[in-house]
Amino acid sequence: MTPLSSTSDSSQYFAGTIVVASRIVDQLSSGLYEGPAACLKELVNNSYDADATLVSVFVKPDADQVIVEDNGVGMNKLEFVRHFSRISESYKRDESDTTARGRKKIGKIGIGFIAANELCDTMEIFSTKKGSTELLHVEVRFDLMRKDPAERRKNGGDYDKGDFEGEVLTADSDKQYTQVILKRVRAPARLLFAGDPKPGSIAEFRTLYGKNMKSMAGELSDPRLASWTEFDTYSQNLLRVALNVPIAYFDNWMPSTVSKKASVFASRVKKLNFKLEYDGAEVRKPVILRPHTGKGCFVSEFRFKGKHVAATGYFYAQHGTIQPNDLHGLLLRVRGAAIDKYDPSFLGFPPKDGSVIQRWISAEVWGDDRLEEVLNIDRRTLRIATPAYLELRDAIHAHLRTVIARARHRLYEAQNVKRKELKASGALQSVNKVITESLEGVDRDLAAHLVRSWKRVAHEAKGTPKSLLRRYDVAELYEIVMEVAAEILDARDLKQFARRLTERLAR
Amino acid sequence: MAADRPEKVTMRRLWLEVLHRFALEIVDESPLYLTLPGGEGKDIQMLVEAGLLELSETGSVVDRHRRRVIAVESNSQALVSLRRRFPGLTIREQPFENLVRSDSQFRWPEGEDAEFCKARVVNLDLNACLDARVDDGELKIPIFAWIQKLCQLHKPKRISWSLCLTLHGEVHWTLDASGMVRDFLCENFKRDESFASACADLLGEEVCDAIRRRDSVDFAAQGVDMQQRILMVFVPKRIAHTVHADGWRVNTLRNLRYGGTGARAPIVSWILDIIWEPQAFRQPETVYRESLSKILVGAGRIEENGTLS
Repeated sequence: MTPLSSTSDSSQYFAGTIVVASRIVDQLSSGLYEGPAACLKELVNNSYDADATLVSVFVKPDADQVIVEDNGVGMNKLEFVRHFSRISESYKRDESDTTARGRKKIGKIGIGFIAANELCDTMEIFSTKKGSTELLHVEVRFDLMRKDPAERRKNGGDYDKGDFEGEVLTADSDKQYTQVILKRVRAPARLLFAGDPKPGSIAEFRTLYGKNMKSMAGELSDPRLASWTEFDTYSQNLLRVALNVPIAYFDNWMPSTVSKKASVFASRVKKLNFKLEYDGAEVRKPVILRPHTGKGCFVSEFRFKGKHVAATGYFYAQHGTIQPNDLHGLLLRVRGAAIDKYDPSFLGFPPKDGSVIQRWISAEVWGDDRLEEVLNIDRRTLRIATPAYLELRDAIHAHLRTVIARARHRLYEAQNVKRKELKASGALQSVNKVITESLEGVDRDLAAHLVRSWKRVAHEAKGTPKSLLRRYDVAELYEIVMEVAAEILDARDLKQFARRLTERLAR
Repeated sequence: MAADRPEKVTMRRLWLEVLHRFALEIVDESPLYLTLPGGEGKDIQMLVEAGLLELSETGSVVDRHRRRVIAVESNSQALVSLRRRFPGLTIREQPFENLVRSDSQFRWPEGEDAEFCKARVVNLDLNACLDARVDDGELKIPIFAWIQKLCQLHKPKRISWSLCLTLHGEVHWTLDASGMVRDFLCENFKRDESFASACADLLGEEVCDAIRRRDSVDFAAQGVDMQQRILMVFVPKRIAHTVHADGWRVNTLRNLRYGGTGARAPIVSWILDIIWEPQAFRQPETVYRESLSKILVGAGRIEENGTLS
């Protein structure tokens, strides 16, 4: 690239510093995000806020550069300088809380781009707006941001957080886009993004690289997939980004028998018309819920309107542990973006309450804008002492209790009844066989009568006749048989019968 | 669009012939093709269509071919365009000069960059003229220094490779530089009469005589057509001269010019097989003469409709 400072038209050249409010500088220095995917999703969410309908991420083959390109509204020099002049100001929502397309903006304090600081040393941006012939070209130097704090300190306790250089080039006026190129990506992030196995590792990992939507759905709904950790780190990052951002669900992401109650959430996100491509592959929200073969499931709708917060969502429950286990628990969303990942503790639900059945449940809950105030700056943790959090937590726990009770009744016990029915049916067949084999040559009519009698017993008991499933120990069996024998045999035959029976049972 | 010129389509077809030849020999993950494809990556698309570069069901380069093609692109926006067309393609974002660490003999590419330079086919489709300058009484041509470095890097493997080189068909040399090119050609006319005769056919007697007499010749002042012809003679000759002492024989497969009329930029393009020749150490002169004799065998022109003449 031509050095920005040597641009031929010096009037088109500009430079500046990025100032970060002291209230967040410490968090930035110590690392705000838990991994590369958390940083990357901030950039994807920025594209969403720019009204993009398509955002393309490129990381392969080596992730030495990571590119995020969108067809959003773009930005010009003035907007860039304004955005970057002071990180932590709510500039994004100054004019409107929603975009021109009507999307509620996810970004709030403008730290999305600073997330890139944790990934790389240099960020290059190209951006243009429809109707403008200006092409903004900026290079942000994060390596300068990491200078000694004393060197960076500015008036008022704030810090210089980095330098940028920019120039205005020429673009077609009918185009709009933003290209963000992360350069000199830090080695640990590079390895995780690229998904290279550790040197010398012979472990075989599944991968989603190069898989189209259908194949990807196949991988994710594979009943043998216990956890996303079975994928390489490339795919894990892809899945984490996809889980977080407001993209559509796969078709048939939930069994059609129960999907009606969750369809409102799926169609709401589909209407946002926001598509993510990752190395050329369209990615959908990686939530595919499938009951184990032959087992039941249900969906319970969650609606809550409290004093401090309101929320809606769904609780999906199935017989048996949810797989992959990454979908087990509760995922909170605000403005379509997830807060971190699924929380298997359901915001601290008592682990002993239906401990087994808790692992059978996967839930997503969308909080209203008031939940945003509860979010910490990292957008993945919540301030748990706030009234809104406490209110929502209690509502979720109350709902979870009803879901667990319903699951116990409808899934666990219903399964038990089914098992008993099968067992009774087997017992009935065995009894009929004994009757037929014993009496066929003696009295056919009697045999047929006895078979009919047992069938009637089974029918009247509505599938689970206790008399067929009853268990006896030897003493009980001995007592029943001897009582019947004493009623119909004379003393001589009774003695012989008792002897033979004893010999048989005592074997 | 310039990249769609019929002449360029013909050139790409010729490159593909070379690539097919080497693709059969590639068995491991060593790179097949190092190229400067530009944002459109048409030569890479050609490899895909020919089945030499495999794409996944989403159009990304399959993992096992991720080192088969190496693109070098220094323009960030062209790089994004290339990434969009071929997700998963290995791209080095730097000028080719940086990949080979300039023309310095003291700095060499390391690690993966060194491996990439050992590709079996290196395509330097340079959007540039041949820069030649006189420094301390010596003719310095950076592109030839890069090519010499590529030869040095290929040397440990001792396997033949191909160089596809494309330059603007204009020269902007100083009189000093033109004089040194003239002297170089004059010496080679004396060394090999058949080369001199072939040059006379291509350049015409008048220019050849001037070279022989070491008259003052300003190549930069010649017409575009003559400048292309001078390059056709000088470039492969000089490359053969530069690398023969290191054990390489240069076989000039194609020596072509096109454009130069109307608004069509004059271009010169070569395909050179650079063949490992153990006897070059013992008999460098023989190997060099052999290289020399073939320089103009494949000389020709690509017409505006793409046909070879």
